[in-house]
Amino acid sequence: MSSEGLGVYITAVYVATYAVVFGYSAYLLWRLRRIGGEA
Amino acid sequence: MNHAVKPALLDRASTYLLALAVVVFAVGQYLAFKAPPDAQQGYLVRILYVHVGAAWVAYLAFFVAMLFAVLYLWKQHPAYDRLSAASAEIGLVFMLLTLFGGMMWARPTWGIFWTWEPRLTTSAILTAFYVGYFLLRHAIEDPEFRAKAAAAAAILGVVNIPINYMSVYWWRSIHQTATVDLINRKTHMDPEMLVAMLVNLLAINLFFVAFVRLKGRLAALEAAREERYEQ
Repeated sequence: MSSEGLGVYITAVYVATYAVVFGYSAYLLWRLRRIGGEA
Repeated sequence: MNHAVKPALLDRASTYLLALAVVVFAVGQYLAFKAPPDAQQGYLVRILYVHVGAAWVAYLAFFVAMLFAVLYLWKQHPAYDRLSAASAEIGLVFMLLTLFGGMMWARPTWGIFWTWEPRLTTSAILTAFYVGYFLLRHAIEDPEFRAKAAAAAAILGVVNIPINYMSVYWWRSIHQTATVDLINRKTHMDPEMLVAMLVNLLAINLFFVAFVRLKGRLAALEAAREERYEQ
């Protein structure tokens, strides 16, 4: 398969990885801020 | 004027851990994109730099969930139950990422996204087990009984890990054996590729430790809020 064809799969994996590490970090910080505001 | 002092939401250790994880991850990403293409897989090998790290951290998270479950059964302190659940949740997130990465690698390599070969089947069972773990937690209202049942499930769940890891050796199929062979202490990778993979692995491990701390703190605050509402 050509490098261009492989790019779609590689990009999908890296986008998913960034979504997990940065998205989950942001989610936890947001939840902490929210629940901390209620305290 | 007198201001009430609010406790810091993010402790210093978690802040440093998260910042360190971001820096190490940035270095890992640079190395991953700088590493040469594989002789057989070409640039597709880049998927392995994050796929292996995600799989390793999923194993680690389920193992840590088991350790906290044992501590809960021993000490009966709810904090251990919260940390066990936190670790299991993070493990499940990384397991789903592992499955997704594997499918994206399988499509151009094998021509299919999924096949019921031993490694993939045992990965699906491992994932389904921890989905069941959270269904169990949501199904039980009594906090003490919920914690005990979840602890038993978390201990039972780790049985799947060696089966999943060894599946590529016990039942040889189309999935390649471990990139870093822990049993025979050897690797099939070029040193430059290995460094890229290990730096990403370290970064994902740092994220895991930071996530457990943050999620554990969040769960403690939620439990305190519930107690306040009940009073």
